[in-house]
Order: sequence, then C-alpha cells, then structure tokens
Amino acid sequence: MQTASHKPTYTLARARVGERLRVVTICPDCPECLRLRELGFQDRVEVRKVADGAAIICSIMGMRVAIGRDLGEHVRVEKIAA
Amino acid sequence: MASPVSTSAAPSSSREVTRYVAIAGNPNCGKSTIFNALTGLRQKVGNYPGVTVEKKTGRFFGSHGEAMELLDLPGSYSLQVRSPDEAVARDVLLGRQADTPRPDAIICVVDASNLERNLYLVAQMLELNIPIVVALNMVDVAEKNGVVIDIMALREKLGVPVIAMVATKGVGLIELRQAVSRSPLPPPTIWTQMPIVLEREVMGLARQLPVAPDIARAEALLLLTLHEAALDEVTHHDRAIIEATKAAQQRLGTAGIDPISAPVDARYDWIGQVCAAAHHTGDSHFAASVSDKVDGWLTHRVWGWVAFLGMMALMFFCIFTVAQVPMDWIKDGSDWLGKWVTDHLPESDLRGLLTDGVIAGVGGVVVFLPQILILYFFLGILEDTGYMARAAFIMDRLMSKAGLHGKSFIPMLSSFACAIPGIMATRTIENRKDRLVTILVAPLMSCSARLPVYSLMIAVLIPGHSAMQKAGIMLCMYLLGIFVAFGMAWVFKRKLLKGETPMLLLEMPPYRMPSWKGVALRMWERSGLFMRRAGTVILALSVLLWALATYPKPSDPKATPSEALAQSFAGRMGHAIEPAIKPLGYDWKIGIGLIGSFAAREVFVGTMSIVYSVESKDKEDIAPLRDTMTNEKRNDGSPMFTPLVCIGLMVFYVLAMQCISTVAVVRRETNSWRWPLFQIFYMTGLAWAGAFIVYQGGKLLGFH
Repeated sequence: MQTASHKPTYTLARARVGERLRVVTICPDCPECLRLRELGFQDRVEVRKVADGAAIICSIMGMRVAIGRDLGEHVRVEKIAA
Repeated sequence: MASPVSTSAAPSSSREVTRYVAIAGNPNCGKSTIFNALTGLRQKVGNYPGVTVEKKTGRFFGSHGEAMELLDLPGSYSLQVRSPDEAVARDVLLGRQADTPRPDAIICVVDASNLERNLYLVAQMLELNIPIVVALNMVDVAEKNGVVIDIMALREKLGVPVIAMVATKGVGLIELRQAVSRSPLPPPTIWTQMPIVLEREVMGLARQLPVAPDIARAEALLLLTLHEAALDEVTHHDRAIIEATKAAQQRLGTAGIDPISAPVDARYDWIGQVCAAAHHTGDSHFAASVSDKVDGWLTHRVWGWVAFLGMMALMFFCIFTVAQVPMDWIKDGSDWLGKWVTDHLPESDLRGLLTDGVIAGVGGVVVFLPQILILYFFLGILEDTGYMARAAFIMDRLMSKAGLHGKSFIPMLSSFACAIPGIMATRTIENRKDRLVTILVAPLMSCSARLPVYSLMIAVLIPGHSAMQKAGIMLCMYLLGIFVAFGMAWVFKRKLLKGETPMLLLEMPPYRMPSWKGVALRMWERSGLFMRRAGTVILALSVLLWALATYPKPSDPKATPSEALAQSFAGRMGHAIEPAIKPLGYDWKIGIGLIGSFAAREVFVGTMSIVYSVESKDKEDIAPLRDTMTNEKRNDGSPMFTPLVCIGLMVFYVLAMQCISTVAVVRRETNSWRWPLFQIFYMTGLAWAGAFIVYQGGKLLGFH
C-alpha cells in the first residue's frame, strides 16, 4: 500500500522497535480498533514502538499501550525520518 | 481470605445530602486518591488500570459545610463501554442505575501528563449535560515531562472550571472543594460539533428515545456508534429504536460517513484545537525515556521472565528469612500463654479448650502473620511501581496459548494476595466467556491463606535446610498454580466456554516510585483483616474442632489420648474419609485437617495443632508442631510425613478450592450457583488427582 507521500507503509506489528512512525490507517470494522481510535490512534498521529514480542508496546501521546500482534496488524503506519 | 471489597460506607452524618457528585476519568489517573482525600476514606489505590471495579460511595463537605455524596466510579476510557466495570460508570452517568441517582455534578479527573487521551472522555462528559469540574491531576509529573498546560486557556476552551492538582500531596484539594461547592453549578455550554449530516441523524434519533431530554443526544450518539452485533444485544431500548438506529447508520453510510468512527474523529479534531491553545509539549515524549529502557528489559521475551522469576524468588527468600524472628516471638508468646494457662488452671475441659483449642488453633495460624505481611509488602510494591501490567505483558504469549490474553493475568496476579479481589478485578475483562474462564482459574493462584500450609509442610519436609531451598520449593508451588491455571483455562476455552481469543489492548502505566505510606497502609489493613479473621472464623472453627476432637469422651478412663481422638467425632469423620485419601498416603488425622480446612484453607495448620495437642501425652511439653509432625508414625512404625506426603499435601492445597468466601464471591459475580459448585467440584478433583500422582507416581519411581 502507498500513501500520497509515496512512503512505504507496513503494519505496526511489523515495524521495528525504536522506530518513529505515523499512523496511516486503522481497520474500521472491529470493536478493538474503535477503542484504539478512542485511545488516540488517529490518522497522522505519531507513534513509537517500544517493545516487541508476543505483543507490542508502543508509545503514543505520551502514554504506553500494549497491543496484541494480531491487533497490530490492523494498524498501518509509515516511518518518519529520524 | 476475606477482602475489603464491599462498597465503603459513608461516615455517619445527620446532615442532608445537598448534591451527588461522581468522580470519573480514565483508569489510573488518580480518582481514588482524590476520593480518599475528599472523604477521608481509604479506598485502595494502585498503579495499574482496574483497581476500582465497582462504584464506591463516601460523604464529604463543601466549603460551606454542605454535605455531599461522592461516588468513585471505575475508570473508563470512553462511554462506549467494553467491560462490566466501564458499564458501571456509563450507567451511573446516564442515570440507568436504579439504586443510584444521576449525579448533580461530575469531577472529571484528567491526567495532566497525558492530556490529549484523557480529554476524549472529557469530550464525552461535556455531552451529558451535567455540570463538570475538571481536576487536572499530576501536574507535577506533566511539568517534569516538559509538558506546559495553560490552565486559563484550558478553562476557556472547555467552558468548565479546571483545577490544577497533585492529589497525592493534597495540592488543589481546597480549590476543588470550592469549585464543587459552587451554587449554582452550571451545565457545560461547549461540546463537540459533529458533522452536519451526523448531527441531524443524532437529533432525529434523540427525539424518538424515551429518555430525559437532557441526555437524549448523548444516548443517541452512543447508539449510533455501536456495531451491528452490539446493537442487537442492547436490552434497555425496544426493537423499534434499534431498527431506527440501524436505518440511521445505513443513511449515514450512504452519505459517506462512518457512524462509528466519525464521532471519535470529530472529538479528536476538537481535542486538537483545545491542545493547540492550552497544551505545549516538546518533542521529548518521542525520545526513548528511562521507562522505555526499563521496559526493554522487563518485557523482553527472555529477560522479562528472568526478572519475573527473580522477583518471586526474592519475595519467598525474604518470607523465609526476614519473617523468622517475629515468627519466633509470636510462637514464644503463644507457648508462654499456653504454659501460663496450664499452670494456673486445674486440669479440666476448660483448660483443654483454652490450651488445645484456642491457643493451639488460633496461635498456630497467627504465627504466620509476619510472612503474610512480607507477601503484601512485595505485592504492594509490584502494584505501585506499575510492574503488574508488565507481568501481564510477558504472560501474554502463554495466556494466548490458553485462549486468553495477558489482561486476564492481572486478576490472576491479584489473586496471589487473595482470590476475592482477583475475581472482582475480572470485571475489567471485556469478553463474558473470558471473564468466566478467568474467574474459574483465578483461585488456582496461591493466595496468602495457603502460605501457612506451605510453610508448615516445607518445615516438615526439609527442617534443617537453607532459606534459599525453602524459597525454591515455595516458588515451585506458586508456579504450579500458575501453570495449572493456564492448563485449565486452555481446557475451558476449548471445551466449555468456546470463543475467539480476544486481541490484547492494555495501557501500561508509567513506572512510579512506590508510595511507602500506601504500601504500609495496605499491610496494616491486611494484618487487621487477618487478625479479625483469626479472632472470629478461625477461633470459632478452632473451638468447634477442639470439641469435635474431644467429645464424646472414651468410656474407658484408661484409654490413651490417641484412642480417645480416634473415637471422637473428629476421629470418626477422619476415619469416614480415610478410604478416599488413603491412596494419597494420608491417614485419618490428616483427613480431619482436610475436613476442618474446607471453609478456610489456613485452618489446616490450626487443625493439625489441635489434633496433635489433644493427642499429646505430656501437656507440659509444648513441642513445635513441625517436630510433632516429623515424629508422627504410621501403624507399621514408618514415618507418616514422608517427602511424598508433604509434597502431595502442598500440591493438594495448591489445587483445592477450600475457601468459602471465594465461593460466595464467585456466586455473586456469576449470578448463579452453577459456576461456584462446578469450581468446587473440578478443583477438589484436580487436587485429589495431583496428590495421587505425586504419591503413587513417586512410589513407583522409588521415592518414599
């Protein structure tokens, strides 16, 4: 998937730890994704992956959220230049 | 063990309540701290989401002495709820709870260090048409993080009073009290404007709703943002309203508006405007912080486990070393008291009741108080520092294999202290079946009431060994509980409560220094509870067990104490269950212990004290229970408490239910007798099978 800025996008689950990212899209269908949106995972919002394992920890708006890898697959992100 | 889970009673006051005020906000933003500061109560606080799972009430007084009722609501990220605890908050705020009046005002607690996310709930609260005071808590943490908040600008943008606070230090409390006391307190005048097409549908639906006009818009918005499956589960509106909602959603879809995400987007657009005017932050929160580095270790797939096991091992090591001295004091005190009673009372049933029943039974359990306090000290630190959520994170891999997600591990970790708050904490779990599975397995986690049983059996098993070895065995028992809980969750999710594994979504609280005062307070409260329980339930059971072990007295006055015990009521009960427990290597005296501890597992220790005191030939010699048990022989002269019997007994107590208070809470939380009865049945079966495998399997392998 490509955005208007032509930067490559990938899912949050596949992003590397420490990467500074920007949310591009979130799946609109599942209830968990609605909660993600309510927690601030809005389009264009910056997010950073802190830890990776069976689940992911990411930092967004100054808070840390643990999300399952499966849920991380529902969030597409692009890398922001460091 | 019992737990202070009931709704806190308001301090008595003859003054009439002039205002009902609800405290609401995101999880872990300091609501309970503010509640405690205003009411003077001691509601539990902690650094992890889901500490408060039901509403609590207390009374406080405004700046002119007017009495107000304060409701501490469970934390909630949104009024579009996902779990039973969030539903409590929503229902109170919308006036749906029959036993609670709709609040006259809301103190909306906001974490200043995380303003944008917290403002989402504020945005929804502003739509409720209830007067609001925003308590901007933790401004000190925000400042430390480089966040600058313009309070005046925030007040202007929100259109409601905003009070800067540091609740843990009492900063802003007077101003908050004044703001809430203000009369009249006007309702909000500013709220998020939805896209015109959406607003039109919202108002159209609101007109059809049979609710008070002031909350009709908020109710309509909540309905419109429900997924189809969730709409079909709505029970508080009739079918026509549901169909009207679906029709409105369809029209919005045709107009290119997603009714579910559009309100969220609109609120965040508004939050963006508020923050642009009042919230200034550098780029620092995107740089890797110390917390991130700590998280890198504590949530690492290898080092995370090392840290978890290391912390548990340290806790048990301290339980066996630090606690020993005060335990000796209590033991000496109990022995002195027993000897004093023996010296000052003539031989009689009363003396037997006091020495063999009350002092042996209650003293035998109270001696473990220092160990229980150390357990609570460590658990308090884990809760306060924010480690609980990290433990849940590293457990997610295992939990997901069992069909649950890591969030279920937080109630299970709470069950290390006591299964009752653990079971209450399952209210944070969104999925009904997952919540039920967690309730069913939570009592398998070793609670503090098991500690005396483990300690006694470890002392009998390896009396002369080091504290490190004893701590190792204790750790194994705790790990056994965790792994069997995972295994049973796996079985239940596949056979009994089938369902999809939910996706994990859990806020990780920031690391904080533990509040030593809070930890000490919790230790004090828990020791008070333990002593109250020792003075009531355990005392009553000890007296009853002494009577059962003493009467009827043998007709032959020359009967030995052992023969007298054998033909007593307790002896007969022990003999009655002996065929069922013989394959586990137990005799009828252990059978008395098992029966005696059915209602409360720690009573096993007291029961053993009573059984062996009643049986003791020499009343002047008060040998430690450990030594008496070590010297206990079977009929053939072989030792009774062999390593296999000791380990088997510990395994039995890891897996057995043996707690009537937990049964009562499971009954209340599941609203049925079916699940607690099933739980007693499966856990007792599991305990028997576990002890059988240890004893018979061990013998087959050549152990004794």
